[in-house]
Amino acid sequence: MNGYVIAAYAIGFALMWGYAGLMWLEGRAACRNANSRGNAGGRP
Amino acid sequence: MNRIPSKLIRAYWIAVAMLFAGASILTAKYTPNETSMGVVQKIFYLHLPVAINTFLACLVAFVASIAYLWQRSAWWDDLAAAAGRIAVQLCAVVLATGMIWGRSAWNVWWTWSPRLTFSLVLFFLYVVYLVIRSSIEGRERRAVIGSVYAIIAFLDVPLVWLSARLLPDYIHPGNVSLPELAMKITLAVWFAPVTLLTVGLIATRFDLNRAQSLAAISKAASRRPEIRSASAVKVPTILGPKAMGQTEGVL
Repeated sequence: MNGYVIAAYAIGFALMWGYAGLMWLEGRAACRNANSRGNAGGRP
Repeated sequence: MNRIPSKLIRAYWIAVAMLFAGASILTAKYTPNETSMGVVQKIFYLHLPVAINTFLACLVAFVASIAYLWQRSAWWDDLAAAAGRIAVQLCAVVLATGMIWGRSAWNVWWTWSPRLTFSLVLFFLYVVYLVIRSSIEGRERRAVIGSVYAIIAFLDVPLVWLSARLLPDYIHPGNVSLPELAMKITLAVWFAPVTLLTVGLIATRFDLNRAQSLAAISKAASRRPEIRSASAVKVPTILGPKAMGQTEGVL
């Protein structure tokens, strides 16, 4: 497989799935903050 | 709004990841190379579905913005903000894959051809949309200005679509022909994971936006007793953080 093709797919996957990962971390941090404030529900 | 069970949402994300893996294997192993461009034409199978989904995300932001101005419900504003954010992400993928394809096929990273220029303008329009939203303090003011801006920004989408067909373009083809059936099948297959990922990303961003909005209402209600009743709302979850294996609960 050509290097350009691999680079295009790698960048595309990284931008899309990377953002999904960032949102997962954001949601987890929000839940953790809510829990530390005593919110039993775990939602911010 | 009823909650979707977290197991179902996790299964959704696993299915999307597996579809991505399957489409990648199909492209690498079974799809024949195009005769004139060779193997670099395979970038097209990712590039086009992401471009179409960028337009869909812009359309969601457009429709949600109109709905907000009509109904004045924060729900629509949160949806428009989520779609605008994902439009930026997808447009970045379109530009990056397009530049790499241009370099490998035509030996240029970038030209100021109509479609490329309008695509870059689209990217910056939605980046500015996010900047405007984050720079306005009042929630209602932010929603109104953001909605009006998103409606105007959407006008660039038909320009991107039509530019390659109506204006002369020496680099970007108006239509890419796929001579073999296997190529057409590969392109059709790629639409499934990319569209499902777009839906998942918008829904997750929307869920996070809703949680932030309702937390802000809750915070304001603790200061102003008259709006305390407004905070007694369950946080909706479509495909949100809970989806990706996090704790359950309500506000």
